Amino acid sequence: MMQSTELAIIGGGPAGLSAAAEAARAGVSSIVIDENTLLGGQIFRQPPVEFSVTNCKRMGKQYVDGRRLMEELTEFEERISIWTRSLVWGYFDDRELAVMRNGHLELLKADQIVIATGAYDRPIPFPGWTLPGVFTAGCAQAMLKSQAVLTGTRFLLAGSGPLQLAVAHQLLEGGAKLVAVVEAASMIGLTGRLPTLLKQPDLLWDGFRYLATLKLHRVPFMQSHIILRASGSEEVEEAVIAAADENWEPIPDTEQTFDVDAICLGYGLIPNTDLTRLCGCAHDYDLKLGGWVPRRDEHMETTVPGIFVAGDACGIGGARVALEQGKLAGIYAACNLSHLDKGTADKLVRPIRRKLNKLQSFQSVIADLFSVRLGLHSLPERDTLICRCEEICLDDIRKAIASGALHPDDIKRRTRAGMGYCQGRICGPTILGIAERQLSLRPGDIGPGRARSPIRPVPMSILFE
Amino acid sequence: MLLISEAVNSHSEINVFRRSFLTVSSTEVVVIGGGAIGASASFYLSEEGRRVTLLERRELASEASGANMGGFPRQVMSDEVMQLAGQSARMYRTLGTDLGYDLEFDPTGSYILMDEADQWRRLEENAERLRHRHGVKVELLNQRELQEADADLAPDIPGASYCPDDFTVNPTKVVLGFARAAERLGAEIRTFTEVEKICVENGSVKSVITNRGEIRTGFIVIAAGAWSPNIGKMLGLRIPVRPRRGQLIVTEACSRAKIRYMIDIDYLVTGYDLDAVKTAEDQRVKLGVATVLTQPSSGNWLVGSSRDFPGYDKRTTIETLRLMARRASRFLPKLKHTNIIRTFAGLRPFSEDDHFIIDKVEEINGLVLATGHHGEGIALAPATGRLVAELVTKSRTSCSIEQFSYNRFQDRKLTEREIEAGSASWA
Amino acid sequence: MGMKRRIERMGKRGTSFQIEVDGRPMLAYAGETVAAALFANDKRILRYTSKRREPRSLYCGIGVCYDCLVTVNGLPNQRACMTQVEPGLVVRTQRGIAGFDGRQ
Repeated sequence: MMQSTELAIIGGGPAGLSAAAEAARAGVSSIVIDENTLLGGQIFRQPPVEFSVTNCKRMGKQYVDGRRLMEELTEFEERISIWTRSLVWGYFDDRELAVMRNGHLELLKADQIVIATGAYDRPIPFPGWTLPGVFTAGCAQAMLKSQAVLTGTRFLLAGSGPLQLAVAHQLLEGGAKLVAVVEAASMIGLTGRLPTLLKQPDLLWDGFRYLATLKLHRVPFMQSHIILRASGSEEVEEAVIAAADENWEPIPDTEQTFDVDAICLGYGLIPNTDLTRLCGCAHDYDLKLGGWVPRRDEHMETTVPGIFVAGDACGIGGARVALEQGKLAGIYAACNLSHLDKGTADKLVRPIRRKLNKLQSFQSVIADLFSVRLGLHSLPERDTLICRCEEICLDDIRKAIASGALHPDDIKRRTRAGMGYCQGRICGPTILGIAERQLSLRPGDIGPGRARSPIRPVPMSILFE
Repeated sequence: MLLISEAVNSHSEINVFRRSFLTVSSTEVVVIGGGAIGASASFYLSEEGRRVTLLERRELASEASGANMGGFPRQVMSDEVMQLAGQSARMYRTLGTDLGYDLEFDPTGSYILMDEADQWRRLEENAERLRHRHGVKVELLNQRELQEADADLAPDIPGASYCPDDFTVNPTKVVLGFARAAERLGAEIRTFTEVEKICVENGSVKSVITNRGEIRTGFIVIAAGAWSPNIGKMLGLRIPVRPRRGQLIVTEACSRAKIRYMIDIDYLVTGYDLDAVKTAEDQRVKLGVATVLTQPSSGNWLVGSSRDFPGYDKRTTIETLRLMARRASRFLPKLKHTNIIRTFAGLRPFSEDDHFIIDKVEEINGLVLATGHHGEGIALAPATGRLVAELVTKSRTSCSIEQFSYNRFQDRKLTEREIEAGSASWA
Repeated sequence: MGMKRRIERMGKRGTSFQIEVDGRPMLAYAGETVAAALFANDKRILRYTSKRREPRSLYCGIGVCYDCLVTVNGLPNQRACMTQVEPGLVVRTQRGIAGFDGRQ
């Protein structure tokens, strides 16, 4: 039950898998740990093994890219152990991880750790957002890719950025009806940034392709519009949208209503920093990277020696950035483990860095255009739930701040927001925003908030092993 | 070892206030420490018409007062504390109304649960002590009676001691309730305000220097729990209190149980007999693990308790969590199947002789100590707060507090070297 | 609704079997999550909350938000999106807090 490993890689998505591959190439043995049944993370989600894929093309490019990456790993089979259905829930002492593996406790002492825990959809509260049928773009996509199940029949997509277009495309391919795709930003900004965007021509082409699919299916693509509210008695029945200004603030008297049974929200991603916070890594605020991100150097090492971070977990950048960052982390972890000398490592990473520079300038443009703007903060009403788990509404939060709470942990203490199962993952970012507005602070002045073991609930029974 | 995440968080937090101006103000009493004792003292002082400024370096109830089970277990308290505990209990019965704040007062009574049949004697003797020396109602229940009271308890528990007048409260709300009521009476609460220096002139308190400015005052109350020694250092005084960690497990919300406050009979050892803990052979007792279970109105089970001396380390440890989970399930077997939502720890202020300190300090005019309450801070906060108010306003108290005096400790003055060792790492 | 939620165009599903949901039998396929099986059968409301007694369903779909909690084989508060179906699995939607042994 107490094991040790040279390298523990937490997260089996593109960043984690490429870290494992590069480390293995240098001779390092690693364990890749992922909570899901199958590897791939979100972007490279695979259907279950019981499912026979007859049409690879229908599965999409990401499915194919994912399969390719996993085949690459089989080259290093003896060096890479895979622990799926395994949750890293605790960090005790120096690089000692507590894992729940298939329902049992494993204590894993790792010399080096790569945290590649990815990201999740930014929660955007608005009236009616808790109704069944209102979910994130990530949810719709996960169900499509992993289960080939549609989460509704008549969809409205509201959000910002290219990810939403990809989901729209996948939903249409799956046979869904889309009543509209509502984009918060204005695409005019794109034209000025064309030179940078042309550096990733295939990604740009994807964007055009998705837009073309929308046109083909006569799905209205509405720029500078945002979701306003959802309504329905037991499940969502109506979506109301409004025009928005350049701050994404709703413009009065511009409402439009759609009959739907599914609303898909895609307002960007935020890095999953539970584990980096739990391990004591320092974090900084960077809106373009998705908010609070772990501080890391050019080797992808965090402020805690021996703990590396890669992929969306250290800043939203997409799958390609994740792949390259994973390679960096794997190589420098191998360095720390004396499998590679620094000189060799620095040479190896040169082409990786060049690729990353190109990718990151592209990502930076996307972030500039589509990063979430403050106008969305005016969506929730006084009794709109902010903390879904404990059912705490905006009014409760505001009252706590008015009564003297200055920090998210303080707000949590007074209102119970953040004390539920998700431990503040869903309400946290919104609460920071509310506090910043109410106290006239800048984003990043307060936060990110403490993380505690277990970072996901675990049954008490595992402490009996 | 300093928790890196704590340092980082406090870096972000304090950034905000570096941009604000440093102020100079004056007040009548500065209370240092925003836990139950500090908040209570602020309230009772304000009731007496004193202008109070409460200083807290993080948020209210951020330390031990916000990391405990909210239990009032007179059944297990020592004789010396009983009178004060009785006063506090009486105050608690109407405190919610008096403060205009819901404290989630639950008159559930407490149950000391036996582990083995040969422990009857201990329970009986304790019951005798409570009834005859202190007039506290206690009822002994046998195996069958206990099962009838709550069938979720392990059927092989030989018996229990039930004290109907014990209760639980929400400790954070106790702190907030006192603080809010104090504010309404004119007190000023300053959170994220750290005391950096204290100025004494001609043997009297003159002012407090914080990271946000200077406060001129004639009176200081030190109610900083495990961090009181560091305030003491600023005055050249040795306050003999050190942190004793208690870990907690919080489960998911469960349906409301019939018995919501249970105490392991071994708590009589781990909570009150340091020597026995030190010399114990059983690893569980050595780490001070004895079950305390409370179920507040939210429905989550709070699973405690543990006691060890790790310095200022608030991390939970896998070894203690394991011992706590196992021991708790011995009494409430179904806990094994619930989900743990989070674990955390608090640092109780443990005084050298295990008795708290409530006293004026002879050496310096205008200085009152109210600290070292170990595991009884929430329980004794109301009575302590009122005593502090008496000490400040009348210089004497309505009941004897001889046994809580500060001058029972020898060597109250720090040497030059000890002062220089400083308070750098007291976070 | 009339429209199929299970997409056929991408491939072939594995074996099918029955699971029990709130006392009624439901068709599920090997490899599906409880969430997928329920959604495919047009059952999207997974629980009602304790305070406001409001209906909840999937939100994030990837195991982060803990909104999709159902009782599975007597064990309460399991994420439907992360739990695999098995032949004979017993699923119950929840109302308010689900206590020990799925007691509500």
